[in-house]
Amino acid sequence: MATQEDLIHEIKVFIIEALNMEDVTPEDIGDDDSLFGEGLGLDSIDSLELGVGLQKRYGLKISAETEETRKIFASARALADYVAANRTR
Amino acid sequence: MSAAGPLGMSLRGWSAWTPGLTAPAAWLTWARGGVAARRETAPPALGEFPPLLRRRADRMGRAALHVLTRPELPYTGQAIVMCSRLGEIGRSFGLQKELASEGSVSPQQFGMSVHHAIGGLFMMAKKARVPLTALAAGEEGALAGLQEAAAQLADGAGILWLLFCEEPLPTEYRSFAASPEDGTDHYAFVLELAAGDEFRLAKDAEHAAPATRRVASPLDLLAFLLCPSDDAIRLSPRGGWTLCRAGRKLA
Repeated sequence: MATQEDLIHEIKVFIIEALNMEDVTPEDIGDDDSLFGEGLGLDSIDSLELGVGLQKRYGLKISAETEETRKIFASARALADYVAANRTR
Repeated sequence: MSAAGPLGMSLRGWSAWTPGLTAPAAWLTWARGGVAARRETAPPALGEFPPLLRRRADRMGRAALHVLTRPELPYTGQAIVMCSRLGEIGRSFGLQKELASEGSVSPQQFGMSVHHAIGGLFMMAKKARVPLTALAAGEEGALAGLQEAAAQLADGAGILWLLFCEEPLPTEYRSFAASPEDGTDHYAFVLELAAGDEFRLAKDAEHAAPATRRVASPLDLLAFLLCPSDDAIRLSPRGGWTLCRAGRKLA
């Protein structure tokens, strides 16, 4: 059975592929690194892209930008936690 | 309509890329008819361009960003006029396929599907706040780009970059091509133009005879600019628009 570490790794690969992040490997992204702003440097278009991708891949529906959305996208670990608790596929 | 007066400009520098042709010396040989560009699909590397921005460029965009960031032509804040007949047509077609099959599209791809998006990426990377004009002028892109550039120079721009870029048609669109060669080019080149009198763009009644049935492509224009032995190039079979070297006339 997949562990939390496996899912975090899977989420990192998902982010890299969904956002076409050439030159970035899963090892470059720390589990608790900020995905937006000073961390990985993603922007608002990226958050939309990830939202669409999460819906297709995990059956998740994430609402438009709210305080909760910011927490979900805070880091690879936070996103993996949310996926684990809410995925429908 | 009366003939327009000549619009002058000078070529200060240039940078060009197409598969198999990268070095300036190779382009000069090409302009003299010495070599043919290879038909490849691999876009150029963009090592010097910020990774978070370059990941959004597709085939044509990568070619464009490559020529916009060459060390031999440093960017110092010039306004940009970019001309492309179809833009990143592969991306546009991909969006349509995605919409048809899934009912939704990638926000990132959609955000990049506007015609000026690649120029915008470059401006963001350079933190430039100067005019960016994007043109899609069908087969007459070379003429339209020169007209826009000449107009901006006449309006006091002083110096600007004129960018031409194209990528091959997706296979599914090949049946719409005008000829086997139409829509097969993958290239980008940028011209640094300044107010001056090295070249004159003119709608000259004296030389308006339709000597050619073919529209001059952007690559025809580049070949003319790089080949000093040529006096002038007719840009369109309609009307008399020509680009002439100073002091010379159309034969």
